[in-house]
Amino acid sequence: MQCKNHPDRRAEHLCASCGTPLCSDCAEEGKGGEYFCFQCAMLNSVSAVGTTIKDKAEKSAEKRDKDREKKKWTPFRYFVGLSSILILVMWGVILFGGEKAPSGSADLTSQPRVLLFMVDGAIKRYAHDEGNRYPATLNDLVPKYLALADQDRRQLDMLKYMRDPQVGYVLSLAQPEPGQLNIIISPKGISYEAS
Amino acid sequence: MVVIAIVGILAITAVPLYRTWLQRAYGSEAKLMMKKLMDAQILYFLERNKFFPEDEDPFPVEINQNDPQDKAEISEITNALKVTIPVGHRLSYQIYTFNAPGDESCQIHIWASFPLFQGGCTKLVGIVTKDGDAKFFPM
Repeated sequence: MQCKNHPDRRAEHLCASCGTPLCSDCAEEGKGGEYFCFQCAMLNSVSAVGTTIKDKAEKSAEKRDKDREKKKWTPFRYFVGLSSILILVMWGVILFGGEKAPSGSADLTSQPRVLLFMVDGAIKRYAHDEGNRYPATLNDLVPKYLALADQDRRQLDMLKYMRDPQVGYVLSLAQPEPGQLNIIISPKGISYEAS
Repeated sequence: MVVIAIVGILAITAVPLYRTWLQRAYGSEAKLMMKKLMDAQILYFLERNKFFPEDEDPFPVEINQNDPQDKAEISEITNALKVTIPVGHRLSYQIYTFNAPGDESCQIHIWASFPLFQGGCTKLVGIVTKDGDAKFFPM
């Protein structure tokens, strides 16, 4: 049998793909020890890099499997996911879950009696925390014992306060409304005085 | 690293979460106790024409959060107002009365050393007058 490309030469191999007789110069040796003609060798080498439709499908299936493997929920992923949800819920509770304050407020300037009792409570808490000492002025109570904004401190002028060596302190309204009783508070109790 | 970071964030978040829990627990308890005490004061006034306490010793009636359960004032309130003050609950109470004839009123103060409500208020003040005007507000 003669080589297809060189009729003057004797064929030594047959193409493993198309069966063409080939001389030793025309035969291309493949990976498995098989011989191919130039055209078939080219086709094989091209299909080896995966451009055939079949290979494409195989490769994309392989990729899908790998992706699925990647997306698989491991214990670590569960931990990260659940922790993230937990943190979000916790911050939601922190920001929006606090107890709402009851509505309503007191105008202390028109209700000096409310302020008087509030300040007395603050003085008592001050004494409780400071070893039975009473504050030198009412401003010493703000803000730790009496929550008054800076602009509201003037309201304390509606009260008269002085430390008293006998009873501890005396607290009263500075200017009770005409006709109303003045309230005088000391650690000993409360007394009233016609204004 | 990721695990340590997450555990760290959880630990840091736990502190404000605890504060919020305190608010929910004690803020609602303060409101509930305030309503109970105000209602009790109204009933007491209807019966006696004076607010509790009628006498001025002790003045004011004061119950601090760390007072023992057998404190005399607690049983006085229980007997007079039929309201039991829960002690050891981190809330402190003061009841002021102003029993001058014709101008009777009382004030109830409930406070804690931490914010009781959103916005940071630590105190609840309730006022009851002889006309039945009862209101409370945060301070």
